[in-house]
Amino acid sequence: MIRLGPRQEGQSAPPRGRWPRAAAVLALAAVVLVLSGCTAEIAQPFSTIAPQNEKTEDIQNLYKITFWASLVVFIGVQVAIGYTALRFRRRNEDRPEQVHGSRKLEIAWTIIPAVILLVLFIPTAQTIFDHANDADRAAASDETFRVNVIGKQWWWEISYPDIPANPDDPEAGPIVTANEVFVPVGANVLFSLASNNVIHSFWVPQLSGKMDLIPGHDNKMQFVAEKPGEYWGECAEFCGASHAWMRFKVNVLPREEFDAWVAAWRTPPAFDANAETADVAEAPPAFGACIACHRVSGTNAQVAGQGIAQNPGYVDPATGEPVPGPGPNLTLMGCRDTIGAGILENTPENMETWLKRTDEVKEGVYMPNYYKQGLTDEQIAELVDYLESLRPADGCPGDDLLVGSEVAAPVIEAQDPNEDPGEDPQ
Amino acid sequence: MATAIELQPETAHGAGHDAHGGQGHADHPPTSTGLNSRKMLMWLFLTSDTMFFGTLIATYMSYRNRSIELGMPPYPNEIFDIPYTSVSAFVLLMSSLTMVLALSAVQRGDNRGLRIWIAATALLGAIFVGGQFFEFTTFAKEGLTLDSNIFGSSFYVLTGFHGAHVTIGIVWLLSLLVVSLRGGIPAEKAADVEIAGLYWHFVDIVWIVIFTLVYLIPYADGPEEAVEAAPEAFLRVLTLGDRLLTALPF
Amino acid sequence: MASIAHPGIHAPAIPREQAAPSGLWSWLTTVDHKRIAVLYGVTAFIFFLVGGLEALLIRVQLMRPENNVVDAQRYNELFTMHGTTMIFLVVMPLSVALFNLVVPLQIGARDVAFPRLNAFSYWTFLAGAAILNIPVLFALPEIFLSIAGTAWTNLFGAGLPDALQALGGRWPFPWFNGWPFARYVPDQGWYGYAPLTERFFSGREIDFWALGLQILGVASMAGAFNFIVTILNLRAPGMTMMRLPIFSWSTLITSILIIMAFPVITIALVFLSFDRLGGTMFYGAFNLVEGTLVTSGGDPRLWQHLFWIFGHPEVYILILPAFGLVSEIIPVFSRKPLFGYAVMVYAIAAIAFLGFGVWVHHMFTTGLGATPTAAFAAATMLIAIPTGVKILNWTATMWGGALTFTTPMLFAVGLVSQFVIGGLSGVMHAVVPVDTQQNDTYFVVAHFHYVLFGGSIFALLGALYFYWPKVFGKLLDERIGKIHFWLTFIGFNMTFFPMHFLGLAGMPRRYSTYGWESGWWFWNVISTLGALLIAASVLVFLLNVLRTAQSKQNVGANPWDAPTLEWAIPSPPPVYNFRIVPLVTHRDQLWHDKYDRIAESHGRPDDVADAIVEVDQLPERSRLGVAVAEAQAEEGNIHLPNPSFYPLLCGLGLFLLAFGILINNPHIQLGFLGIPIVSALGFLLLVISIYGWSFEPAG
Repeated sequence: MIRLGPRQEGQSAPPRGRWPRAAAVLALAAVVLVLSGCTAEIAQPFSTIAPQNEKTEDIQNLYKITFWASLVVFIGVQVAIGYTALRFRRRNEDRPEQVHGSRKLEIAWTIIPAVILLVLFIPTAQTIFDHANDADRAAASDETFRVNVIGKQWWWEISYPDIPANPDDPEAGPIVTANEVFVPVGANVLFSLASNNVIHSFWVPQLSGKMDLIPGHDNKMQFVAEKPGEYWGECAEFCGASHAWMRFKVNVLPREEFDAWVAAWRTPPAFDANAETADVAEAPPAFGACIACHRVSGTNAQVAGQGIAQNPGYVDPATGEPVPGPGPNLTLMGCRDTIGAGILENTPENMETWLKRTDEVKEGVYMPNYYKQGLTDEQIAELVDYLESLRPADGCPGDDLLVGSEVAAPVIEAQDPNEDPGEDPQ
Repeated sequence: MATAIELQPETAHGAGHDAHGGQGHADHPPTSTGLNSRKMLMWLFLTSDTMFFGTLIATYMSYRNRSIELGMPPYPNEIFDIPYTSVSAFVLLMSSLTMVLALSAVQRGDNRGLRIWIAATALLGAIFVGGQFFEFTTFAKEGLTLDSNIFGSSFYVLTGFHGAHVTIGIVWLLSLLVVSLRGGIPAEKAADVEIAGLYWHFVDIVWIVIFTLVYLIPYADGPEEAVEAAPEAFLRVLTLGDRLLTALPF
Repeated sequence: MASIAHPGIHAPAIPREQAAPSGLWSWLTTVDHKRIAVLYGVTAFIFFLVGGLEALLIRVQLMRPENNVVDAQRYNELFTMHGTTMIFLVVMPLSVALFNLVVPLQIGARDVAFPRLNAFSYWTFLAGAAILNIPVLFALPEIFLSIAGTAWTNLFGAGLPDALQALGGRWPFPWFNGWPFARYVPDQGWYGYAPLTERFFSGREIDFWALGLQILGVASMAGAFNFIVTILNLRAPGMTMMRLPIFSWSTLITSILIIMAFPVITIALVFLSFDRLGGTMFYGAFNLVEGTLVTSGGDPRLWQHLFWIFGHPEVYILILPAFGLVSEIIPVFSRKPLFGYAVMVYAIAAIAFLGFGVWVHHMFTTGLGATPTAAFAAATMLIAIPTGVKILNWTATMWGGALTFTTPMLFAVGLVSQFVIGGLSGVMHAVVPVDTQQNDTYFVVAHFHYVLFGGSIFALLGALYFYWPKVFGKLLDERIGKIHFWLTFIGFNMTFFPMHFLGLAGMPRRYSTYGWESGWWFWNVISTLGALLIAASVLVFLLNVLRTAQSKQNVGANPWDAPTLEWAIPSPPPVYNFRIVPLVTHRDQLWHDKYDRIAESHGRPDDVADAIVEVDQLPERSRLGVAVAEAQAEEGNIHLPNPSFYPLLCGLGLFLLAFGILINNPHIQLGFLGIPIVSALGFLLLVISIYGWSFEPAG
């Protein structure tokens, strides 16, 4: 260890007592911990340094250049400081030579950093313009796979403007999902990012850098989905109470699986409580509370609005009460991996937890807790059955998807739905 | 000049400058720069105030054509009465002249002249503020309010902020008038009037800028033209370098 | 031929009537820059403890995945108040405390140019700080109860005992709890991005935050005007700008930054307040009329532009004083003058100037387009050049010196080495594509803590040790001081270095919690342990202060053998600072007097007292100053400003004005004929105080 410890003249002796030694031991312990941490295999699904396509490879290369340049400068400066500190300790009363500066040296260390920065700036600008041009080209091309994203508090509405919900009925609008983006492998994906509430930021670290969703602006983000797999994304701009629980997934599927997913989305659910009364499948009666905000494609639950023009959910300034807006489209809900934008794994138990303790599981959520407002256990069980049944009979497309990167798929732990929900706020 | 002042108590260097200008006071040493500290303070405040108005004006400019672009009336080009506002702008400009005359009077020790010209300045200022008040009420009747559209918001906040400056200036001038009536302002305290004058002239100059940018420069004729002049125009200046940068070999 | 001697060498006894007054009233009405420095310092240190506790709670919450020590709402309040407090109520006022203490002494003045304006700055600062922290004060019992409840549940598996629960998270004063302020703790982040702060997505807490910051802005600007005039106008005879001590230079440039940057945030906050209270939509792209979205024409990005046009210079407002302090401390303990004084001055000026042209680098992910982005990336990289020059010049100052590693020196060298890390990660953020991965992650949190903690706080702590003897006449204990430094140093690195790894692992800022599957827990544990070390280091510092307070020592005028004028006068300084206004002939005046003159006089120290400066060699203005000094000297009095209570009343008036607006809401209505009476009273008090002030003789 380098001893930068002070030595003093006169009144007080150099302190080499117990305390500095304890500090040294502590520091050593910290170093050991740090090193053991480095070697430990920790799955990091949001890692920014595990690029999975060309765009993130570009960023990674720039990062490497910057990192190594920084490391060299860092070591150089620290060695200079350390060496100076050790070598020029005060040893006697002599006054050191009174140097006031050196024009040559100062010019040198003005020019050298300038050169390093210029070297850094050239690839930086190059990559900025390359990525911008890629996005522009994608916007101009017909081959582009377009996805519209609307950030909500605290979930994502995903729609596919080029994939109609019903090919025979142009009025039915596009396919809409929530919190899961499905993309065929090899597609040049162009996201149109918008918000009608607060600012969010759309970020899939392994496929692209982040881009903000700003009300009034239509931001674009482009990347090529090169490898099949599931890639985790998250909101990166603070957006209120449950900012931490606004995660999503990009599922890059082989072409045939993607087509199977589109077909599955368009097929009405198998569960059909009242098949004979109408030509559309009907949701169970308890779902009546949900259809003001949620849609299930191919059923009578088609009331709730979708798209940018809808009330996003807000707090009434006059009363301070939340006013909910349309919620996630629940078509193929049984196939979703998570509930509540990444907060719970999608299992029947967790669905029950979600319905019974909504506001505790996800703070600030606009969805009312109807269990507290009077839905019975039986009605909740019926809803859980219904929601989990919203999946194709022959399994979910892409279920066997391998994770594209080296990172493990996150496992989201289950919670006991009947755990004491705490005191009733009413 | 041959006395060594070692061991002797020193002067009040540095203290008590905020009541006396320093200038013309024998008991205050000259400052390091030779400039009056209070005048310097006013200049610094005006630097700061330039940033205040700069922010307000930049915001107004970036929202200038927004309401036209969105088709949200009332529109600025329809509501402004430029001859009317030109007259009130002229009144405010004239008040700068009377302010100069007031300062010249106090520097001559002419307290009567000072009273007349300060009162005239305050009066002209009051006519301007009254005119602004009348203008605002007329606009409000025509449907332009603080929350009617983004033009209303940025217009009222900018011109209102300026009107508040003029109002504070009038109160200041009237306070000086009262001081002058109750015993007069001696010539060596002319800095008191001069500093108020600096403030007054600044507020006038700002109005010239606001009047030009808000009233005189024509607005977009319709939504298409307005889109061209969309906000963040100040950032668009940078896109002038677009060709240059894209022409580089990388 | 007139001659002038150097200060403090033969200070005669203090005249009795000018002995420092004491008592509470004297503190409330003081206009003495040294006392105002103490007021600023003590207040800022209290807020340092408050902000530190908030940080500690943040770290405890993040210690493990899915933790529930505080809920998401409380967590958001904690990081908002931590950031706001540390920036506006700790680093800025601590810097201002040092401006107040050091600058007039360093330039050989008796006080600042406008002593009452100086007192006004402090009281207004206190008013703004109070507005910001009133909700925190009210929420304290709730916070403690919820933490105690969680801890109890985690330890004993059962809820909190009824006895504790019965307290209900309230203060034990019934009237106190009638106010609903506990719900109004600001929770939108220190940067308050609209539209999250708009009336549709937040509550009254934003009004507390916005009004508090506006008042703090008034205080900062008033102080900045004062210091600019003081430095330009009250320099001792012979102190040219290029003889100005470097800390005074950094004060001057910081003050210029303040008067240019704060108006921008003030107007931005005025727009915000209009949006919230006046129905405008400056920052909201959509208005919500009875649940229907209506395009309003406002633009959320306007807030970002305005905030960062202020926000980036603000970063330099926080760091430049630290650079100045380090430039004072390192030469003293190297026994060598600052290497490249002129270049150091130019570097400060260059950083400040460039600081106004880089704000967009906070907005690289907002979709501004390639060309502006590239231009601002280049501007940002440019800032690294003057900063790098400073780092290397400090190292060169030490090179060839006679280094003594006292506590102030340790902190100063600590800054030089740690700031490099923050500077380098800053350059990484200028590499825009990399920034799109790092922006809003813990990598950024690591970066700015290396700059603000490893930079500003290190320098300010070092300066506390350095200037303590000047204020109190006693040296802080060096032994404890070194423990303090090493604990801080290790704790700091342990807390913030792992955040680089967390950022690379994709952990965004402002996440109240995270799942086990994210793989972020390990470095969070280390970071929290580090935060506990920092907390311990603060306790060590408090211990040091207590120990020193009990000791009986007087270290004399210049315990460190420093070269600037503040060390020429006794410690603590007399109320009038300089019995004889010093005459400056050299940049490192005291070293020149002590060493060079001895050398010039062939090692006969007796000659020093006789050494004289020819007044005729001075520029004309300084000669005039000497002449007036002589005239006053014959009268035999040192003229000092009178105490005044108007600054305090002005601050109180501003406080009531803002407070009245804040409490005039559906829950509390103290109005009369539609006028909020508290605000009206505050306004009246303000107007009366301004007139009282104007017509009060300054003495």
